[in-house]
Amino acid sequence: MGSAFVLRKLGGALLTLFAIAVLNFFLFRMLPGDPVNTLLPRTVSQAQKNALRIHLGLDQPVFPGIVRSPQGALEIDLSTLPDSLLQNQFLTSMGNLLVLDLGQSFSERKPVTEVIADHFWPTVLLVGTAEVIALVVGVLIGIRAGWRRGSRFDRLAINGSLVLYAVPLFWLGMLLFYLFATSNGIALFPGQQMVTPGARHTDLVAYWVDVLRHLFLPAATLALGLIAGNALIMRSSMVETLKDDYVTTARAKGLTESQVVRRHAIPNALLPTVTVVALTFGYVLGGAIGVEEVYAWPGMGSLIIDAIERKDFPVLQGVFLVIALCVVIANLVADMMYGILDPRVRT
Amino acid sequence: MALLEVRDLVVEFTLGDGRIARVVDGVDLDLDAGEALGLVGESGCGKTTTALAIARLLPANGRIARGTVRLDGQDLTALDDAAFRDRRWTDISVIFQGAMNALNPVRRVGDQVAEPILIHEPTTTREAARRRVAELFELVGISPDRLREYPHQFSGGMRQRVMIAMALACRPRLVIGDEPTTALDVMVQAQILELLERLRRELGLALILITHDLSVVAETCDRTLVMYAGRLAETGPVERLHGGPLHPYSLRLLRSVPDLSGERRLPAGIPGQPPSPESPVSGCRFHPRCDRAMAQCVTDVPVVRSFGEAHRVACHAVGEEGRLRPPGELPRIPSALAIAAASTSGVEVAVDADVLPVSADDLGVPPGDPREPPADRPVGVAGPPMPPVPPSVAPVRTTTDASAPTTDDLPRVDA
Repeated sequence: MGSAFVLRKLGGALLTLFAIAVLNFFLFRMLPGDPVNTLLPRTVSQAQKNALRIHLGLDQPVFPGIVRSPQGALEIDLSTLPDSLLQNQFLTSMGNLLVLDLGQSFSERKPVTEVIADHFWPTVLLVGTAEVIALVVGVLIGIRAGWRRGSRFDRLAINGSLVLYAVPLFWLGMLLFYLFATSNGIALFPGQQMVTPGARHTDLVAYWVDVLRHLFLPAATLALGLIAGNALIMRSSMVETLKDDYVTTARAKGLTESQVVRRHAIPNALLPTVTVVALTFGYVLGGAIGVEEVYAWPGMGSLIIDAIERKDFPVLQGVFLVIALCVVIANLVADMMYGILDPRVRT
Repeated sequence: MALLEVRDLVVEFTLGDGRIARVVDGVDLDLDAGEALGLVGESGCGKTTTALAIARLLPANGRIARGTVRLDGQDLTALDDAAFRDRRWTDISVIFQGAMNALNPVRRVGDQVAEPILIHEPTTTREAARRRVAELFELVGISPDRLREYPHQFSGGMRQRVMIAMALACRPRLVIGDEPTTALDVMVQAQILELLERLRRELGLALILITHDLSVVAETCDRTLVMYAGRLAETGPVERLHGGPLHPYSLRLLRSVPDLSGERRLPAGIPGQPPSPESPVSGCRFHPRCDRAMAQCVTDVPVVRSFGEAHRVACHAVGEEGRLRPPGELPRIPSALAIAAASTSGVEVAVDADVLPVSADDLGVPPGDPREPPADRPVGVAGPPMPPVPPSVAPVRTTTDASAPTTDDLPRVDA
């Protein structure tokens, strides 16, 4: 893989990130209403409101030549030029972004970066576990189903996958919760949170055992949904690849059936799967929001829901940016993987 | 004893709706060591299926229903899969059509060529295999520096050379070339054919060359085998068959090749299409498209008769003296019989009984001398352009039922 290839992909990813940051900025500025009114009780004076506005930098024009009217709508006001060329919220915001300052959370009175950091790793743990399980299990099921197309295993895999694929993840989560975390079914696992509340863990091993017990149900929920999608893609990819002429060539050369599949069919069939897994990473994070809410998993999904309820816009803006970053990185990784797997794109 | 001896080969495909289509129907084929046989016919005539059956590469819904394939006297059809696998590539290798898809796009060409060596000769070290692949590359005219490249880095002709190197990797005695020059431009085509011819001489390979290009056969092969609709039409030494074809189908096929030195016009071609395997035609399968069709052709399957020098032909219009009789000498076809046959065989026939049979002049064949090489006198050169269809039993076309499966439903019946 040439360094030019890597640099081009990295450049593309950075450009995407910048576009997302710009979009994210305007998305939240275009929301109607005055954040200051949301933050302060109705009873405070106009002077106090203005003081907060200046403190938050909201008195500045949004963008060169664009200001926010008292009614809260964005308006073009060319009289602010040329001062607003340098002094505007956009430049300030982008500058802050460069030093990883995402502002203060309205509700928690601490930096957004810290709030997100608290919730980031639980989500990474949950989504990472689910993705790894789903990738391995889904691909294995897809390989076997596609190889033995029309067999009982294939029919079972397709129908099972379609059902799982169609079921909303939060509903599947509730079902598993009901069956395996409440006394209505068999209460094998704790249903809520990431660790048992109030528990004092004497050592790291006990802590992780507790976390894994809590992780099992939400990760299983998310993984089940993902396995279905991965298995379906891998299966159809296998079916297509096995029709290719080079598979016949391999057979003609005297390879055994399993050699044909292992050496010539699986590596080639993995290519589309890699792309799709990366492309759906955003949906996975989206699906994780519902699952986290069902199991009260203290991740970014729960954080988003809390932030919406509390109108904590800086946190929302920050979470959106982090999620976008994750999707961009997932795509970058997929591009690199593709470069390793497929020599044709390496040029 | 012949190296390859195929007797009464019947290949059947099971269609999606459970019906059986017989794609190859009773083909005999002999090949001596070091001999080259050209297998010709239109698309869908069963040439590729015959070859795939010999190499046991039929798709899952196809099977050899009858017949034997003997290599050195040993019946290959009797071997189980594991035993046959050991014979693959060491005895019979295949040069596939269009090497783009026949090579795995994500593996290095050197590894792909070395793969059969390492599988069939487990004692070979990787380094020894690599050296042999380098030799093979030199043999087919590729720089051994390109071992570590991928198929997409090669041009079409170079890829075909890689494919040929791969086919020779385990020193097979029989190589089947499945339209190895199709989709290559003419210059490259000539180079590849020259290479095949040279390798065949140097290595003493027996070659089955599948093609629809008769001039390719004339240049590279010792014998020709013409197939029509899954059956043998005519086979014989290249000079005899090309110089004086006995079967009307061979004759028309040879006429379909444009004449470079003659007048500038398109060759006559053969109107109509071969019948589809799932609705076979009665009697001689070529009769709906044949200008010499007689009552006998509609009812009786012609037997294969020999006319010296391994020249064999299956046609009712060939007399005992080994001469294809011109239409004027043949009995008229009763229209009632043609219609009756058409209704049973599922083809629609428009018969104009008054103009039957068509005169020999209409076809440009000098009466009494049908064996004259057709290139000498292009069809209809003197008079007005020949009507594309002789008005006798033609135009004939198969009534294609929209719901009936076409040959497209058969994977790789004849690519």
